[in-house]
Amino acid sequence: MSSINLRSLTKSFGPLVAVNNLDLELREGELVAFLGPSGCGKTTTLRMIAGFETADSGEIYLGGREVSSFPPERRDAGMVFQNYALFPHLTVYENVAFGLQMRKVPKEDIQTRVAEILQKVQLTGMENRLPRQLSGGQQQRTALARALVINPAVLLLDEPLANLDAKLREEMRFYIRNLQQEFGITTVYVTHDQAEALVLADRVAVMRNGVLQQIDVPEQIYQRPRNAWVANFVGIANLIPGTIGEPLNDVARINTGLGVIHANGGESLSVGSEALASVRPESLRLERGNGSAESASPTSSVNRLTGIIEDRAYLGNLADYRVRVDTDTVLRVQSAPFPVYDISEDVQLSFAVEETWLVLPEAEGER
Amino acid sequence: MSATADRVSMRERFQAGSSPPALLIIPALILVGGFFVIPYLYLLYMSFMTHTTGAAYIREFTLENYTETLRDPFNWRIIWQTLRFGIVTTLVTLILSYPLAYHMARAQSRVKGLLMILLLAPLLVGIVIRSYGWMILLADTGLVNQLAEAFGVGPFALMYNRTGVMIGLVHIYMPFMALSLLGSIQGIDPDIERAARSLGANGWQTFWRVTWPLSLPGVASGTVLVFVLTVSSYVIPSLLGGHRVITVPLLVVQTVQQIFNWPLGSALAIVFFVITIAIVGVYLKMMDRVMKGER
Repeated sequence: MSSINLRSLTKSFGPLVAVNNLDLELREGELVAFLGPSGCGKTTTLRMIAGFETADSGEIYLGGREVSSFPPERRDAGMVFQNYALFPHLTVYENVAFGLQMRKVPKEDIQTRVAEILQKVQLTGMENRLPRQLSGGQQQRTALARALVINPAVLLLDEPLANLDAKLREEMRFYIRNLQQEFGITTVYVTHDQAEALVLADRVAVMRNGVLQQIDVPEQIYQRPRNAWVANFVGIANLIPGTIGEPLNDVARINTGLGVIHANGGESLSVGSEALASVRPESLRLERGNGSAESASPTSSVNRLTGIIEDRAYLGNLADYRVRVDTDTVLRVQSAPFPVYDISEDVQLSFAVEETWLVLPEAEGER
Repeated sequence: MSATADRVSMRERFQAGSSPPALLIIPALILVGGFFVIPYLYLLYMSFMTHTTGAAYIREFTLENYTETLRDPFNWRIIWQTLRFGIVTTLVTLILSYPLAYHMARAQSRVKGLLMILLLAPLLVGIVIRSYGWMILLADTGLVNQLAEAFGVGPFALMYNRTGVMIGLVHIYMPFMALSLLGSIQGIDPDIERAARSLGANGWQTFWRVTWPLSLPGVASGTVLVFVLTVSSYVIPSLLGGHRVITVPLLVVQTVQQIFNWPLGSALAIVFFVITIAIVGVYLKMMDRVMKGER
């Protein structure tokens, strides 16, 4: 049984379609990150699941119940807000106990359950503090405890780490992941931070303009983006446009301004259609020299190009190069900081065919 | 990074600019001192002087005015009636204004602007004119009674009695209550209410457990403001009460202008002032305790 099931969910605000015909199913205990830029519909979707927004059409199933007509208090969804939304006039204990009191849990049980959860989020001893007397991280954990103590059917997290500083944010990623695993709770995690989504999620749902672009495990989202927009939004992508040629020995080929590039994917693309070859900066290898065509001829497992180093940025753990391979094509290459290639130096670029992926030129919902 | 640095330096600059605050309160001090404190002290002085005919008072210390004021059961009836107007008006404006203020606080900005204009527009018209407006509506042959007659009911006595005064007071002082509440409800993050809902609280529980306690500062200031304005109101009770409904301000003015007893009027004014201050003081202390308990 799936825990969250969205069927052709649609929501408009005036002329703006915030969520367009969204179908999505979360397995029991799964954490799915909704990833996209602001205004992509991820928060609206979350609010529809929580019951704060009413869908124009479509169905929402939580734990097998169709809940679209239910008010928020009957949906059994624990929610953590971006600004935590703790009750400022209640202590940590009272904040966490609130949901249990609403459920008419006996007082002694409330005490044990609150104590238990506070221990789990390491807030024992903070019971009588007010939210404003807590650090950002402690407020965050109070909000998590408050949402989890009611044992909700699903957990909804709206950019929960956005207000924390960078270092704490990174720690909290693992913390939230562990907590979610421990409770085995089906979770929707809304974020605009791709690293957060990739680290935390079982699957990532990439959204844009209210349309689901791709939903898949993090590795697939990064290595096998469905279209150019996803490739660009998640990480850095070198996108080389061209037309699909005849495949050779089951390897797809795309005719580009830089010559034929061998690539994977594109099974759905027909010969002659427009597409782009997507290569991640770390998949490109640099070598010194302008190498003659013979020594650098591409094979069916490695693509080769020649270029000139145009710019170089030192990032500590790696170097970020901009390599001009054509009058109007500059590729990003990220490699180990040594050896150092100088600006204007001739280089050879090689990239494995299995790390070259064909993507559709347009985003979903634009055709 | 540079944006943050700019913001900090802007704030510092702002703080540095406001460093001599003492000078800034002088105009207000002159105004309050000259037109409020000094006349009140004079009133206090006069209340201890001896009544005479032919002059406002003679300079002879006496407690007679106070004993007379406190002994007269008529005065106490009027004081109680005035306080009751204050309490009832405050409660009615609170009950009527809260939903309005809540709706305004949560409305889209365009709707909010329109409601704000509607709320404030009556304040642009003088209180006397508005009272006359109510007289046209509430008179025995007024619009309301004509309408009632068309439906075969009435006529109702809506004017020159307590009902008329109440209607006028509620109408005129409601904006003060609504604005006080609006400010404090606007300060409540709607996500806090949503959080309560997601934790299983229904609309009423959310209101009583979250919204209401968080709006108490606005409730405190609004109720005090309306209570004080109501009990000191003169024009509305005199026009809509038609001198058949007497309140303390009316009685003070009558004592001074018709009986020409300045010291006695002053004493009554001072007694009522002390009672009002005491009530407001006790009330604010209670509210403070309630809010501390909530926090």
